[in-house]
Amino acid sequence: MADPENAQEFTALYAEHHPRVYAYAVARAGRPLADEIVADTFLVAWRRFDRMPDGAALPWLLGVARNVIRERYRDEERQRAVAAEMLAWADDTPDVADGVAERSAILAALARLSENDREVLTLTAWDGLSARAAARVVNCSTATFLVRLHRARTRLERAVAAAGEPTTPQPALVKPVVIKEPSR
Amino acid sequence: MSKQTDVMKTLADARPARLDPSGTPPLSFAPHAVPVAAARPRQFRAAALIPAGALAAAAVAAVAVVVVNGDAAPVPPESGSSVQATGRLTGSQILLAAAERSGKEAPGSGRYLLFRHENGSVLTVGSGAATFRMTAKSSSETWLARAGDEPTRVVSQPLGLTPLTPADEAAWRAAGSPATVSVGKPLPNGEVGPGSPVATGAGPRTVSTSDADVYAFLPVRDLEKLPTEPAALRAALLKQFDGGGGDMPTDRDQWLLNVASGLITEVPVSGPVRAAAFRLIADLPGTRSLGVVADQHGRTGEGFAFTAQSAFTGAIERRFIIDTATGRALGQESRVEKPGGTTSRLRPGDLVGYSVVLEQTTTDAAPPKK
Repeated sequence: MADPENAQEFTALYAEHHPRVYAYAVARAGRPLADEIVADTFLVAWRRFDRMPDGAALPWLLGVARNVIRERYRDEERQRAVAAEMLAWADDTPDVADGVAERSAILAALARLSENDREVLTLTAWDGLSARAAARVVNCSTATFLVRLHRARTRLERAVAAAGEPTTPQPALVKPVVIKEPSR
Repeated sequence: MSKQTDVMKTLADARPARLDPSGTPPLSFAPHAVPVAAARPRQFRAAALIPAGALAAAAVAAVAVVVVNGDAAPVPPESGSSVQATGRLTGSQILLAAAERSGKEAPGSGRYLLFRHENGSVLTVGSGAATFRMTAKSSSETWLARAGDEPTRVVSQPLGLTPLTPADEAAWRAAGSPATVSVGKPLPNGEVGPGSPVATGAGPRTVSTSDADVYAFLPVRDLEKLPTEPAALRAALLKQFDGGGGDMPTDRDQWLLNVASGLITEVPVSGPVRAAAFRLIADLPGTRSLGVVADQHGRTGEGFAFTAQSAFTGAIERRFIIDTATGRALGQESRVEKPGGTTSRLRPGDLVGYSVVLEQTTTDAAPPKK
């Protein structure tokens, strides 16, 4: 029953977690699609509200968002959107001269990784999730997640090293190199 | 940047400002206004197994659970009441006969499982000072890709609200045959909450594809992997048993009845799986025969029923009408058995909702895109 208590609880959940679901959607599918993804995510979340695990709202919501993104958009469409999004990140440099090169290098390197690598890295670094919570989002065990994170981190380091110290936007931002992950 | 911690910190520091929304927009829907069934996939009539899209689109119909003004005149049961037959089968005989026929059903070929339903819910509506009952009808058409490689499509259409009985029709006319009536949420005390205006006419057809996991308990790609042996099916379903609660029964057998009967009417499972569901139900306590009964479209079949107990809706009689020639369900309906909760203002025998199976098949036809 959609009783008022649930509705209130849900509205509070929305207010609390909207920015984080939005951030996840932008990182995975680009800003133009993000609002739509967030709206769909919360609609699905409401329908399944009674199945939300206690104390793990955010990973659960991001897991719903993940499914919404996968079900709603074709891979090519999403990859194009993400590529465009990552180009915009390069332009979106804060007014701090210090560390600009480093920042642009790491974003360029991130763009060269596979979607799966990017996801585990950004769930950790940007969404601030623990390995356990992030594992819930991508639907694997914590141990598996840690292995994936370790590998992704190694590949990110290599990509940074390979790029040297670039100061201009990388062509790789347009065409992300897809590294197949055999475990998926 | 050679150390791992450094690369993660650099990455964290490089978090783009574009990830932050400029503000939090209002929710795209109002949770308190989203109807019960659309909001929570658990409803008294195995709604856990009804495609969410169909429920969402059939918004009005899903407000469902009926409340009637306590002063309303008693209404005799409408069509669907049982026709007493001599020497009728027992409940379990009907179920086993249906299982027998279902088990012989040849598997269909075709890329999609297609299931078409008409659903109806009886609502107490208001217009000015008058209240009367209307049936909110909707149709739904679910296309499931058997390979599991496409989103599920649910085509739904609200078919409008029509007065339930001649007395309701007279009340509606007396109110000036309004094209818009006020529909409120049924409250646990049997009253109706504040109403919002709802058009009585049919609505547009909509195709929804965004939510592939349409059955709360069953991933679509596992539909055709369900066991065809009753004990194994029982075990597979019970794996999902989480203690019930809300509007699902907390009693295991009741819960199983609810979910297994959903397989018969709401989910396009194969004949052998349906056969297992019938046998599983036959083994559960509490089913009874209705004899020969008609569904809401007037098609006759053998009926069986069980009582769904719930503090939330009172005791509801869940009736199933089975086509004796094929072992398939023609339809199902829910009637008040013992008023309570949201049905406390209703009378035993009052119809609260129904669904009629219009088509269940496999097809290679292209599903509608919009």
